[in-house]
Amino acid sequence: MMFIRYSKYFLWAAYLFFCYLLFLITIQYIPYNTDVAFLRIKQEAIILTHYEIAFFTHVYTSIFLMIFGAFQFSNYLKKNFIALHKISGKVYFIILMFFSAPSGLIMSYYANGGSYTQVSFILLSLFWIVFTFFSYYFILKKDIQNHQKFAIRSFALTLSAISLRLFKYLLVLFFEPLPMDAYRTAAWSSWLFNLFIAELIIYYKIRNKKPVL
Amino acid sequence: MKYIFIIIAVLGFFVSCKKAIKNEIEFAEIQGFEEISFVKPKMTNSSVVNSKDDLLGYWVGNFDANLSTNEKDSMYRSNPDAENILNRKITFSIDEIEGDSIVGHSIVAGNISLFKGVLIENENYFIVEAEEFKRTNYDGIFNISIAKSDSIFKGYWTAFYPNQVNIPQRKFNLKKKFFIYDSNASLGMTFINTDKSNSIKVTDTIDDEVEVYEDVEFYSTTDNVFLKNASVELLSSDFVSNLSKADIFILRNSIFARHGFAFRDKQLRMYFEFYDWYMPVFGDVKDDFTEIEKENIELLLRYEQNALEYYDTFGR
Repeated sequence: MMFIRYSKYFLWAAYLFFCYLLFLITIQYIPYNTDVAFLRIKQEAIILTHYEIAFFTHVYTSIFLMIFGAFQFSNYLKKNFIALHKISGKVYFIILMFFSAPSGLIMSYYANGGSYTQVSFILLSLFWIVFTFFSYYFILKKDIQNHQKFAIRSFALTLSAISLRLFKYLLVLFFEPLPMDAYRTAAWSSWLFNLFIAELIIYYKIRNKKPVL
Repeated sequence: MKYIFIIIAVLGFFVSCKKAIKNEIEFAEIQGFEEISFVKPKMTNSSVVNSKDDLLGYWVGNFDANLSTNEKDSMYRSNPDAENILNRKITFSIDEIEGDSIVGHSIVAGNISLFKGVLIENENYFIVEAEEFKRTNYDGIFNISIAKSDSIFKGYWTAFYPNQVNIPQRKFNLKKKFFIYDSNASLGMTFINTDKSNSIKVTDTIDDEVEVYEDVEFYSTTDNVFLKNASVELLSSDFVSNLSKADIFILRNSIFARHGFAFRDKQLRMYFEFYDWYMPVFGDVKDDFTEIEKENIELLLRYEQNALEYYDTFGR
């Protein structure tokens, strides 16, 4: 019982924890260095200027989506500070549509693990852009229910930043696969799993409910 | 007061998170080696000793403890490292001969040790008495003889301080071996590091009964390590990216092994000593690498370090 009652707080604590880990991953690339961490095994791609720009854009901007994205789901904020919800949503939209997602799309093309992972990441990037676009489009049309649906989908894909890394960690912990096999599995399962959960939430929480304004 | 505790707990927690995304390891590219210089011997083509000059070169063979079977048995029982201590290999190199004095070096367990001594020639035999330089307790005296027009170098090594070493005397029969770099020398055995293991739970079904038991899983290579020869072809990052840590480790060190590098690492030494082509002769082989090998080593190093730091962490 206690767990259910406090599950909301556990979720927020877990979310904060993983955001902190993402933050630690981000600051590995500060100061600017093209031969550190993940880039050590990405030397063939990082010599390409467009990849270098895409990579650092993605690393330096995506972490902010974790903050602004999470704000959007606070009912407290929506009820009491709707202006803040609007500003934060626009910032999320701009960062995602103009920086994180396009750069992610460019990086997808050079993903490790061959076409199998490349296709996965390209689809992820495209869905991310499309969902985010529709979320914004529907709120301009004042269609709140559809806005919420697509916002949930968009944030689910944003959260694949966590699930990708978490799945890889768990795969290695339990099965010790070869590194690229782990990565290929995580590349697909992470965002498909998130999207599946998103659809469940949409189905049970939004479908037959009047939107809260 | 309560809040201070909470803040300290939270801070401590965040500091400890660093391990979650990266293993801080000290990564040594090449195992350290003492800088000991020696002259490369000028070898004659004869593997049979007819003249003094035929003695020059590398004499290799087993360097086993001179103990009775009983003594060995009791050592096997009491010391888990007995196999490694009892059975070693030696490369005994006679580098220079001037008159009746000789200079050379021996390599045992990756340790290079210089010696000098005298060469006595009589009607039927060459006899060598050589002393290591007494740098450590592990030095001693070699007493060796070889019959003229014979090819086997027989002798004993006796420690200077018999009470301070595990094995006070070793015996050997050595043969002259020419070091030839063969880029095609290939790997054919799985590397199993007996010092690194995880205990794992194995689930097995025997007679329709599910049994779970603890087993030990060693750090070992996969069959992927046999697919490519890192001295012959350039490895692609696609290939290397799906190798296990041990695969990368062995592929990289196989390049060193082909060049006659004398490994100090016990596990590597024991692994490569299984191969006929492996001959530990040199302490530094960096200058001998081909361009292909240099590129492969650099690529393998990147992936090896990456695997050690990030394979089992939260990250990608």
